[in-house]
Amino acid sequence: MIEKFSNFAVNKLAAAIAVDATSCSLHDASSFPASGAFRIKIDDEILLVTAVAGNIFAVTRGAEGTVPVTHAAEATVRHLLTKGGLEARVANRFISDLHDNKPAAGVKGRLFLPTDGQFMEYDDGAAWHQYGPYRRLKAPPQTGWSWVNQGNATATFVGSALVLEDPDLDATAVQLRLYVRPLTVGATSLITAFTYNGIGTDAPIMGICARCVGGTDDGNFSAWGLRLIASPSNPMTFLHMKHYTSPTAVEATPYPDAHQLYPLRLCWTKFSWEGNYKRWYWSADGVNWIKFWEDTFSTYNAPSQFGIFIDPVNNSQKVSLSLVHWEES
Amino acid sequence: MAYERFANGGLSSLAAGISDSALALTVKSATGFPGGGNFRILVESEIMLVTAVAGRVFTISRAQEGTSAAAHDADVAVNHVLTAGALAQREIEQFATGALADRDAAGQAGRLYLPTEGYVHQDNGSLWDMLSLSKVTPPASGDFTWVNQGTATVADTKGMMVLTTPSHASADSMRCLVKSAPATPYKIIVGFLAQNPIYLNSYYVPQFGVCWRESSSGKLLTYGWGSNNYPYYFFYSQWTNETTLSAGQFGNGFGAPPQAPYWIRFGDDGTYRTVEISSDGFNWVPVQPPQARTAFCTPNQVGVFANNWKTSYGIQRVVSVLHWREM
Repeated sequence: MIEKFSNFAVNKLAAAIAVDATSCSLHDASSFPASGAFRIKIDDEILLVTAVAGNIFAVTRGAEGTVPVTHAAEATVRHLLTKGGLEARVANRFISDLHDNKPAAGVKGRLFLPTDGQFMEYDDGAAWHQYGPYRRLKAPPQTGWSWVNQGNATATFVGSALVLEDPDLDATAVQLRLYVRPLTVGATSLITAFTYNGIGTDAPIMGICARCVGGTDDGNFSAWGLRLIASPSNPMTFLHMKHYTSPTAVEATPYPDAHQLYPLRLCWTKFSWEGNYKRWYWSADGVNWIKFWEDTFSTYNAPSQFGIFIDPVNNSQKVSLSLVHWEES
Repeated sequence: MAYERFANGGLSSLAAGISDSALALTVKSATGFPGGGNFRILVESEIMLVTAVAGRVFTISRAQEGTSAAAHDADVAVNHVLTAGALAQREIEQFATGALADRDAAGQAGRLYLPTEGYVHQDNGSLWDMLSLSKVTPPASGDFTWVNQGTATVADTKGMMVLTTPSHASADSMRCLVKSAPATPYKIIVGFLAQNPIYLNSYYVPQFGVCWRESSSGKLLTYGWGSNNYPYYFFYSQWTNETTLSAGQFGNGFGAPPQAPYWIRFGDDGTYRTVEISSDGFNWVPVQPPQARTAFCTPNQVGVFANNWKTSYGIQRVVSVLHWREM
């Protein structure tokens, strides 16, 4: 409900109200806004008016830290601009919610910034207008990470982005640097998005990983990310998954072959538990998903740690990855 | 466009009386008032909108916000006030909309301009910066009908029309969503978000894009993106029907890197068909010379399509259509 204002709105109570009354009646409410929400002050109490029916206001008592008290008939009722009213009005201009919960258009000059959609929308007073593509990037958590085989790699927060970087050049064997964390208990999917710099050859060089802790597969992990195809005439990037028994040892078999899936600037991935399966997806927009691979959950390993990785193997330049979205659900 | 302004200490009095229809007034001192319009003043119980300032003379619009015009005597107070109308106007002016060419001059930092076509702009105080958010108008799936749907699906999801096609490993099959073409001359701008999941192949058919169709014969023209044994290409091809390529009648295409979104504009001016692509949605390059509108077929339907030949591992194709604008 948008906060409303009117000029010169002042009148008196037509009847006394009790300390817990949720409505009040005025002699003449014509100078007040015609509908909620707006604020009034009676004696020392601020009340939030949520609905108007003629001269009767539905009210929420004791707003903005004031104390509800009884008010006598003929007490002055004054509409006023308060700190809470102004803050609510400002907040009304920038609405964030699920796309499907977007309010009806009709308040000119506000923006809808969805938590899950693809467009910022503008209300011109008659309809919503879409601008995009837009995507809200959920900040990765800033604590709870641990290194596996850190070497000289670094992890740095730049604003909300988690930047993984390895300064080493031209390693001759795989040496993945994993930065991992346990998922929140109960989470069944993990969506990430990252940008990338410097892509090496032959193996996934940066991306996301799922690692097993404990049991016979302790330390085994799957890494899924970008690699460069080595064709001299047609170098290109694509997505590749491999399984590893340690950060320096690729599992011989089995591993999924590489898929020629062209990454966009933002590389969207999703790991998901679905029934007895673990599934890996990717997306052009972070909303609609393409399945890349699936296994039964215990195939190869049953991961309990998730994270990001980079590998400087065969790399002729410094590699870095910026994790800009981490969404557990 | 005048902008709603505020200042502190705008408090003076009339240097001379005014009638109830005067369109200017003179204050004893303009100090403390904004240096130009627009702003509001309260004189007795009349709210006025000041639209221009010249020294101590204010140009005024009378009887604002439901108040009544009245004559005012010399020496009555003139107060600059924050009113409900001023607050509402200021809020609206933070988000202006209209044609890009009608944009106000920059100079009010922070406000947004949301054009009817093109990027969102934000005033940095001296220039309009661009935010890479384009005005889009999504198509509605109810306006289109399937040709060769198979097990493909379409859904209207979060402001997009999303086509999903399952893998089919051995042959082309163009899943098309079409509607009647507009009357000529027309152009249609379409924006896509899509990945291109193709296992290593060497092939000359677009995998998603726009199509023209001649309903009487079923002939089809497709323009869109695909891969030719690694690199990403833009292709065009012509079809006897949705699954039969018209031999030799395809273009070799040209390199077109993955983008988000992909923009394409296709049209028929009554004589020629034209197809153009863009990296930003407003600068266009032709993909081929204009074609006679009757070449190969005379399309009476326009639409979008997705193919899914030679994807492996059951990978689907998901194509999100976020913009469809007929001009």
